[in-house]
Amino acid sequence: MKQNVNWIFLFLFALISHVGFAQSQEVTGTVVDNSGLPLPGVNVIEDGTTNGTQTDFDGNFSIEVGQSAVLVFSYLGMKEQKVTVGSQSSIQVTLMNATDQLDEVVITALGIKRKKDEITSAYEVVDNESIVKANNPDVVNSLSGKVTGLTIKQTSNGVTGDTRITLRGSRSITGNNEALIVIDGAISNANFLRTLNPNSIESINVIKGPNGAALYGSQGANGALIVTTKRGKEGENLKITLKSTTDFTNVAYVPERQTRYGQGWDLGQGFASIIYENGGWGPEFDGQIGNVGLPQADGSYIEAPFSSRGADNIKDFFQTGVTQQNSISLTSGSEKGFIFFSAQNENTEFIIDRDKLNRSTFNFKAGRTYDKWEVSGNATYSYVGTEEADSRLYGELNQSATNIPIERFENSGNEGHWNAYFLNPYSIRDNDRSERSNNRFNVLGDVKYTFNENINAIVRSNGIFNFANGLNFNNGYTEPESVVNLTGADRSEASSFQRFNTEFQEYYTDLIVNFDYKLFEDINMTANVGLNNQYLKTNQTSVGGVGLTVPGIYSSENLSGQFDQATTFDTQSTRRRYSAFAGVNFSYKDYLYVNATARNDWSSVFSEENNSYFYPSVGASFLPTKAFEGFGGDILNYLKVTGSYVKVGNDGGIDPFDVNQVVNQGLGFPFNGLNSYVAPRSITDPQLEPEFTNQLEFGLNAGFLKDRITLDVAYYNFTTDNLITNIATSTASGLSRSAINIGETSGYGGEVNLGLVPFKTDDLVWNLNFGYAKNYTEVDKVTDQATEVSVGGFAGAAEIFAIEGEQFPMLKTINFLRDNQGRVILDSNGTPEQTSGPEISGNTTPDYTLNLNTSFSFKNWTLSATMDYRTGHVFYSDTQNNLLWPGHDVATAEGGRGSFIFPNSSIPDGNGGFTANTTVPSGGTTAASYITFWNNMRGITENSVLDATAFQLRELSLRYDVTSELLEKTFITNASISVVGRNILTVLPEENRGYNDPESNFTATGNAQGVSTTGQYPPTRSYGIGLNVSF
Amino acid sequence: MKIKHLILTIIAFTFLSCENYLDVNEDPNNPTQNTITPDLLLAGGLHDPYNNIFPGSANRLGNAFMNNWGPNVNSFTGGFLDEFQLRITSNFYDIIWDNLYRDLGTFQLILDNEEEIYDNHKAISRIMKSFYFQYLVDLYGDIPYTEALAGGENLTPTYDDETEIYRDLISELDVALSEIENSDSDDLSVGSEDIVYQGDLEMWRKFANTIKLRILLRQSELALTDGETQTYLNQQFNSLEKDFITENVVINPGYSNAEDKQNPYYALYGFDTQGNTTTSRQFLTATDYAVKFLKGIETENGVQTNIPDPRLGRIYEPIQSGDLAGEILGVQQGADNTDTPPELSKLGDGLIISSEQDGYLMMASESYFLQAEAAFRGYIPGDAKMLFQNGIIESYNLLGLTTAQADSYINQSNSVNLIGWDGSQNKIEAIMTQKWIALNGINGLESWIEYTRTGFPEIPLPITATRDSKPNRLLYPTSEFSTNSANVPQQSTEDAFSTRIFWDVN
Repeated sequence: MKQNVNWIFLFLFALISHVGFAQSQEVTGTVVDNSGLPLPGVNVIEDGTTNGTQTDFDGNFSIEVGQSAVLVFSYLGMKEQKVTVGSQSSIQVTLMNATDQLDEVVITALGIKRKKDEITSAYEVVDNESIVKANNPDVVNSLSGKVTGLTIKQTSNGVTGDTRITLRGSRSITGNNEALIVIDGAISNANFLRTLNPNSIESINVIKGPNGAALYGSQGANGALIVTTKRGKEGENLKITLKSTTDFTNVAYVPERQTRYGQGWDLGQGFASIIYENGGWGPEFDGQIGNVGLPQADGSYIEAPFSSRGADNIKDFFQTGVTQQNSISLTSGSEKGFIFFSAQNENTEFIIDRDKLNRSTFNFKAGRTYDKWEVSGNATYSYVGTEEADSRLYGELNQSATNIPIERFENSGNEGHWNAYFLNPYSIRDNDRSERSNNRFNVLGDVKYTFNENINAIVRSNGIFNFANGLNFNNGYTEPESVVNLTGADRSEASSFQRFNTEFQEYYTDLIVNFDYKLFEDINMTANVGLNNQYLKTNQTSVGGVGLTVPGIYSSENLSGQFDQATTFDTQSTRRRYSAFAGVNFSYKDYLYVNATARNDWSSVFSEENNSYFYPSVGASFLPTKAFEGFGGDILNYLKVTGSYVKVGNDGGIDPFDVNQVVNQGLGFPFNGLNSYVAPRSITDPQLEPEFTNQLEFGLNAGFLKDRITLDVAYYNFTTDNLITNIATSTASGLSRSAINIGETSGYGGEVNLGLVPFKTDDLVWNLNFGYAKNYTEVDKVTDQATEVSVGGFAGAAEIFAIEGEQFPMLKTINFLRDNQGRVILDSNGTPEQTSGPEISGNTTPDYTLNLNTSFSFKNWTLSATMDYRTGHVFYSDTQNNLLWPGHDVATAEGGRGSFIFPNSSIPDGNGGFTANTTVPSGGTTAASYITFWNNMRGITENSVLDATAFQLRELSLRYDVTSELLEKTFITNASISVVGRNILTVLPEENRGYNDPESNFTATGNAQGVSTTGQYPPTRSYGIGLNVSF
Repeated sequence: MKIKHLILTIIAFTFLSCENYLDVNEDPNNPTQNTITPDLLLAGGLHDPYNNIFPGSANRLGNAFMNNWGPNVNSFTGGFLDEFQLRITSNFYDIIWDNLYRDLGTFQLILDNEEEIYDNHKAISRIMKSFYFQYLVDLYGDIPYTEALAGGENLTPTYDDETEIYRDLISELDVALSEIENSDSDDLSVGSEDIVYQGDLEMWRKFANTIKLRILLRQSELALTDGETQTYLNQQFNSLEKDFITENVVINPGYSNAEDKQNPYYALYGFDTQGNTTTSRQFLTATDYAVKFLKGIETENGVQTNIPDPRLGRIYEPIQSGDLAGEILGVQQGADNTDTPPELSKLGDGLIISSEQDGYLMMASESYFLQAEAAFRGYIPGDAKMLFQNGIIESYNLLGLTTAQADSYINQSNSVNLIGWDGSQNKIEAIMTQKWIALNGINGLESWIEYTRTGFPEIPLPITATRDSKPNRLLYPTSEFSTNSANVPQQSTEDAFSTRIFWDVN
């Protein structure tokens, strides 16, 4: 291949050399790659002319050029480089791999391209290859473990699942802490990003602090993901790429449960085997064949041996899911323009039978240069359709002893379910469902006009239109009298439906004028001034009710009851913001850079007096390796030190109309034509002001041994003030919550990235990239009156708090009452005493996170892996809590069922002290008292606080690139096949017996992180293959 | 320079031409608290505190404490664990404080309205605000009052002295009574937004008098030992207009058999709109104590009246099917299913009537029992025995029994200690015992508060109780400790048993 190329270039050279030269200055030199090997056949052309040459076998060249010439070095697969000749007669050039190109020129705020050297704060770029290598259909999730300091938390699993994106932890207590998403220069959102075709993403630049995003204002306060989609490259003929992947998904783990005792409960005669119990309070397994569950429709019973089917018998409920993705993309480019088109279809069948997703995304992008005009446009349409069962079925599924042959009850309905107190998960799967369809259009236009070599102007406008509609329905259930008579329980549910439409429009417009001046011999200045305008509008209508006359018809006309007030509503909202901003960058030679930005926002969500706010940033970078000749010697080839300060105002967490103190319709109103309102329970201070974050950051980027070793270090500290905090107020005020400007946090943290290339030869390359990230946020102040505020969770049982003087966020639960030696205090019945209210039980953000990305290439084979490790934090598992009272948890069966001496316990000695307990048994003497004991234990929610430490092998992939020799005689230019695995290995601490994924959370986004619930499906792992062909 | 023109035009259009560009923050979906008028708030204001507190948590707590309700231990595990073990923490029924205060905000919004035409609405709001604040004092003692309900103006109200609040409730009721008296055509009349009396201010006057009677009587035991209180009560009873309610005070905005429109008591303890039994109905059962007491047979603490009370079959439902069909059986509070009948009685037809049934604020029987006590104590003129017996008749009527049945019971029971006037050594104990029966399942909270005040009726504790007496009060809720820590008095679990509300001298 290389030879062929050389031949073409020689031919071109022959053509070019006919043109002849008018000037005479000879320049010689050598071109090497970044590991120092000479590069033969490099194209060397004098910029703006047709004068050129090529390097010889040893990488040497010689060319005659005119005065003040600029040489352009280009080579296939390498990054083009321009060198000003000046007075030099000998030039040494190092060409970098094209894949390293992203490291050199980075797309930053407002779509501005910046040199790596110029950037004064931490960032990390993820390229397309890294995004798509493990077939992940979701661009956001594919970033997991790849960027140090970036947390992609999959808060729930499902057909689509929920994801929370944060950088450098949390700063705001109840405001928004999520990172900003920018796509092709315009502010977008994570939902839209998740619908994009991963193959259409060129790169994602993750700006970790508020620095780079200072120009985005408010929304950039929490860092930003700057997404750039693909476009055709200059000099590219029509290139078509086909990609097809298939993945299989399985449940990774489910909660482990006790395998010693079977289905049953106490019926006044000990641990009785009751065949319709949700409990595992039955007798010890004896293997006898017997009936299980309620009678089936024909009166018969399902029979099974009274023995455990394994601690994970509920896994049988789940199937193997399949995800198929097919994508085609076309690119073409020339000096004058480019064109890019991609289409992708994704079909996912989830681990729950009938739960599925269908996504189609079409993206068309084109651009052209006419004289001084550059115009480009980008249109994306995506359709996402999902069908899902209500995830509460997982909580119901967990009410199963291990002797239940789960899958044999698939067609039993609730009437013939294996227990009489909870609904059959198969029935919920079939009868309590939702359907969504979401149409998104994104249209982006970009016009650039170059006035002269110093000034250009850009107008960029983006519109996002999102039309979603959905249907939730529950076919209802009426308990037969026979079951009520048998068990006293009635699981009846009314049939209901809700149908809704949501319309969302977002417009974003930038006008930027860029300046680029050479002020003095060595000083360059670039600057920009701009205006920005954002406009968001939503409309939502929803109708719903209870009681369907004809089953299966989900329309308002089929309602036997009235509309349901909670699900019938219509709301509209509008938010507008405009901003003026300016930025200036000075560079001294090529080693000292200073920049400053300023921005003023005007936001409609504040009152008129408070709606304008200003914030600045400054930064500097210095490169000793470029400033001082010979600095670092042969060892240190690159060094950059940076420092920056930024202040960002934030209106996040405040919605349109919040400051109005609206009254709400009273519950149940209108009654018979009588409508009425009630005072607000939750308000926002009408005089609310924006909150501010101040961050100081220092960074260091170093390259050793020609970048065989790279080290990137960033340290930051921040303070916030005026935090917009939605505090719980004294209810005696008449309010439950109020958003006010109060609360302060501060913190520090940093990231360390170590890149290693232990091997690099023609055939073998091994890359390693270790990351370490730490963030510590402390609450300095909550309010003048209160030292803590609840952020959310299970009130009074397991709740996330911001507590003055403590790390944020902090989990509080009902804890054991302990004596001064840490022993659990028991009362006279052997029941543990508990704290009278919730107390601190641990912080829910990791002390640190480690991540490792590595790839190992040998000839045409590439093996790569992404993994991470988090530790030093806890979470509350409601799934575990819900296994305690029905006797499924392993702890309820440890050491047999009967009274026992509670480990490390003490009893009052009568003199105000405590003595070690060796005599008072816990659990009582009867089955009922033992069950009551565990019921009490359940109330001590500290029992369900688990170490959240986790190691996860996020991605593992093996790719084979078909050798070019094989393709030589075909029209195919590239082909590869890969085998991938995602989340194939998770290591959890012993105490987390698979209860919950520590990442899962009861709210998808919100700051109350660290509380997981039973309605969240277990984590999954995937295996798959991918095929990629270009021609 | 066409380009310049173009750019200037874009700037102008995009950013500058819209002078009111940011004026989009007026909510098109809801009115604001500055613009809403009292007539559009009254119905919601009246309904919310009743709806959110009375049928549910307040009633449940009182009926658990007063041995009226037990859990269906045959089908449920862990019911009433804390109520029976008497584990009183700041979380224990904190919803009563939290919900009640929040729900009283609407009355305050009405009272804060500066227009003078709303005096009638304000009078009603004042009466109901006092009605509920009495309960807050009765349950918690010192509470935020003068600085309370100020919304965003004061997020951390200070606490007022319980006695002072009690005195002020009487003053507020007096203000309401004078507002009613001085009501004229300048005042906007009250219509259907009054979901208690449909604007009948005469009835509100009687209701206000009865609330005053209750507030004053609550201090009667204290007055026995406290001269200042005695003097105060004498003055107040002197000026008290002795015109009390003779009918049940009920609330009904137009309940119907539709989602969110059912009577909340029925929706909670009865059936959903489809007629399905609710979980609470499956869960709640009669107690062994109340059933035996009403049957007249010997109870666990040795009480035996020998008079079967027909109200039993109205309060609790006879078992519907199986071997025990037709029987009324209850569970002993705190017992497990070892010695419990396999079937238990649910709430009966006298309580669970229909989706449209009225919500109960104050019973006529309660009014008569209060009058009987006041007459017996010599605070008001009247025949205490007759008033006492009128209370029983009203109780019978409310439960769907006839006056004749009541008369028959009164005749049979008159000479029986605890339940009959003449047979009872301690008339206060008899009044409290009859009030306990009359409020069974209807207002258990009032029943518990009266027990705290008088010590009657003497009913046994659950067998799992870890204390030897019921608490005297509730503890300040967790929310106050986390949001108003500078003002809320510190408390521990012990305080629920060792400290008392000011009127409690027992």
